Amino acid sequence: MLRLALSLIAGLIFGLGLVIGGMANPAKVQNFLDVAGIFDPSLAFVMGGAVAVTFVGYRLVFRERSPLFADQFHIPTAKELDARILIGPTLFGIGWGLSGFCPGPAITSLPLMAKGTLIFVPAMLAGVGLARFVTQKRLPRRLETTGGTA
Amino acid sequence: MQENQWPRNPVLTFWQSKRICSDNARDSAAGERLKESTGRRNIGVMDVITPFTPVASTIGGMLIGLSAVLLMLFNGRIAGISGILARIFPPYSGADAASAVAFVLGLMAAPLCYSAVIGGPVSQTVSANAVLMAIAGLLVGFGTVYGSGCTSGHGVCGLARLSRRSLIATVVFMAMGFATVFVMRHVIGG
Repeated sequence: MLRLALSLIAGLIFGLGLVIGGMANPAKVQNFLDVAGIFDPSLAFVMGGAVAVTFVGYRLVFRERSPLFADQFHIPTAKELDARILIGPTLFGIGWGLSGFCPGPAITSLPLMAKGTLIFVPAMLAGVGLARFVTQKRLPRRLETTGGTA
Repeated sequence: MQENQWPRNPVLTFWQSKRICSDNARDSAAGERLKESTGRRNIGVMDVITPFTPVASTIGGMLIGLSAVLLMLFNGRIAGISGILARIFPPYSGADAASAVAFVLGLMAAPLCYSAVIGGPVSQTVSANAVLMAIAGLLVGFGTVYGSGCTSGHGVCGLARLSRRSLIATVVFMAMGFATVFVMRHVIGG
């Protein structure tokens, strides 16, 4: 129960970060990607702030032997570069540019009920299910290590 | 809406002058404002100028980082949204799926809490093009899970772990994002 509550709070903080940082606004994301047009560099600051805090925080957390409410840290172990690490981000990047949404902001935007969001999110979940199905069939053991990477 | 003066690069006006616009964009209030502020005649419907917000965006980013650190401290999990979504699908396992659902509910509570505190709506411009959004959604959902990560899993947590795979993934999806918006706005036209 405590673990559920903490996951909820972590989600809330994450979502607030997206909203305050402007990432929940697809127009702002697309303007970040529009270097040759109405460029808005704000998102570099979101990424910078997030990576800086995570970089320092992870190093503090990893001094512990295990997480507080789980048996072990689930750290992605895959090191090799395969086709999936190129194909996946390529498809994702195209969809990201077309819509201005990546998974976090899309889910966070659901309660705002924009028509585009209500179409995007079910399609995204269908894509997640499809990829889960495809990777599961071909690489049943790998998924354990790479599925949690995301 | 506050007008953004950043950046006004004269070299880029070449591309802006080449733009062709869709008819409905001429009726958009945001488009009108954009026309006034830039002197461009043709503006796409999605081209809403957004103000440059370095302070708010840094604070937002730090909150995302805080959440990622807490999730690792509590659950030992990478704060990757696509991975969290994938854990809701079979073959899920009880505790992991339940905390994934809790995290997703937390995400959805965020704009409501934000609105309640500031006493106003969250400003957002989302394309209403159903076909475009459906295709984009499929690509994002499939691509992030197939590539084991999205902006948060690879772009934030992966980079913070100095993972080479995540660095490559981040460079690829960023490059494709830039390329897609460039083609959409400057080659095909808004």
